[in-house]
Amino acid sequence: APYTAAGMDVKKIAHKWCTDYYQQHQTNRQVLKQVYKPDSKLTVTNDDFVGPDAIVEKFEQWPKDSVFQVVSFDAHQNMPNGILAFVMGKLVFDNGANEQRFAHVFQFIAESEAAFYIQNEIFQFINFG
Amino acid sequence: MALNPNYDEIGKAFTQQYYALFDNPATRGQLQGLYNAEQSLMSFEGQQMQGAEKIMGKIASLTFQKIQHLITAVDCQPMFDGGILINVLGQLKTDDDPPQSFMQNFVLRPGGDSFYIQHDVFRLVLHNVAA
Repeated sequence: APYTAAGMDVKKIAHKWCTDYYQQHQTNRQVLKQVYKPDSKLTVTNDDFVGPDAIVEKFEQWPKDSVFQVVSFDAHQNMPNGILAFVMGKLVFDNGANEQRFAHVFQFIAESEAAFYIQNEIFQFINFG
Repeated sequence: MALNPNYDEIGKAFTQQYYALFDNPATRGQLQGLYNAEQSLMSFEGQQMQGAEKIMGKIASLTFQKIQHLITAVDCQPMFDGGILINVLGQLKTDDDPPQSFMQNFVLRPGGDSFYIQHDVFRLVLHNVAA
């Protein structure tokens, strides 16, 4: 049966997965390869990266000391076994001297409470207003 | 797997159409036709509502006379069930207020010979962090 049953606290689960994801981004991006499958796609401002190697290679181009701060968080269940997470946040780098606002959307596919992978991911830097 | 190959074109055209309908008070009511009576789920600044009627009720409750959405960026991805994930960044201007940045996400789901909005998430981009 699909994992994401009705009544589950979707927002709490998604928030935990996102928190773990950002934590991993900050400590060892190579480990993030485990949350992507060959069909997973990351779009960063109209550029697409498909599969764990291409996706993590893109992330490795970002500043090494980046810290992700979540400003707003929404999550919706996407039947049968997807969870959509919508994050607005700030990337803080250069020891806090610089920050960059971003928008980040995930579709997690749940295989069990502990096992998920990211099937869709869109990341945009916010450079206006 | 049923990825829609035209996802980018469809997603971008949909986005333009959505805000054109929204920004014109004469056509705003037509947005109802883009939402499903039961399935559509909206989060508006963290508040959730489900179904076309409740969603349109939320939109109708917003207090502005004039509104204009200016789209800065749109990214789309195909989903394996034939849906389209859309991330929009832009600025909106209401009445005589200064422009505000916003983020809006849509998930379109195929229905009949068209698409409906299955998920709609709207957030203003705030300047100050309230973690």
